[in-house]
Amino acid sequence: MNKTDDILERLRTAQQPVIDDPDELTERIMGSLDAQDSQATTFSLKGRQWDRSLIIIRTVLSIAALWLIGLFIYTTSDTPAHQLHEQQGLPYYTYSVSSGSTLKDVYTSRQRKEKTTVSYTQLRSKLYENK
Amino acid sequence: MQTNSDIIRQCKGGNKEAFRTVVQTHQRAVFSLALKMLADEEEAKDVVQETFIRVWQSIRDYDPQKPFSTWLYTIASRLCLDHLKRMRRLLPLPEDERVLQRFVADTDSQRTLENSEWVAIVRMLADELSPKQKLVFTLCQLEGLPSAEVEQITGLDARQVKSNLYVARQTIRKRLTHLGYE
Repeated sequence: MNKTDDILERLRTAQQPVIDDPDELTERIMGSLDAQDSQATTFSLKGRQWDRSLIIIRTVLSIAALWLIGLFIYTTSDTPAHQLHEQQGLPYYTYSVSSGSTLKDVYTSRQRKEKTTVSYTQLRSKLYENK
Repeated sequence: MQTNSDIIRQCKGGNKEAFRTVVQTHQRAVFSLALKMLADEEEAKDVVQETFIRVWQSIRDYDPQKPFSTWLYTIASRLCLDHLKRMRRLLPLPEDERVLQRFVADTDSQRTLENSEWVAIVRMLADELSPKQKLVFTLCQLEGLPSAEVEQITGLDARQVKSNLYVARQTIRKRLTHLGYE
């Protein structure tokens, strides 16, 4: 047996490490288990409280969503104005707005329309008299 | 007189007094492994504490068909490796060599080794080993566990255990030669 094997063999058979105060370590371990358990209980209590508030929040949000859907259906299912007028025998006016979003656009579009109506004489003079 | 399996069954049922018995029975073995792995007494005690907390938390998953000590060593080994990753490397001190010299010079095979001497010797011998080599070396060589059990604890196959142990022994041999012991 060489020196290395001898040293390793003697290490294996030598006295193994000992805990200087085993009872103290046992108590430390058991104490940490109790601390873990109480922590777990606190977490589960908090979890339960959180679950309850989550249920309340969900219920409130569901009611609010249902109310909004109902409101939407109610407002969109109103009878359109022209049907109402027909039912009540009232005249119904429609307004056609000229193209454009500003007053200037409306005015110029009207002018353009007016300009596009060309009389026969004007057309004839344009075509044959080259004016 | 309660058997070991009775105590484990009681622990599975949440009996803390039964678990106290388990702690008292096995804490020294876990401490021994942790001290040889980490070469630090306080870190070793922390590992012992963490090991038994893990054991308590997962005792319901323990399969009674397998040896309890193997399962315990598996948990302890993983925690030791985790601690080794976090710890800064402990370099051998000049006093450590004197402790090794005294140990080598002493011919008493049943020599009493104090924890501080274990720490010094482990620091001297296993300083250059990788964590996996250190674990295999500690379990096989210093704890004297059979290879089959070391395979179960480490999750390595027979070939890997053999090669890790071989490399560890070669590294230690080189270290001892360097120190003039061969």
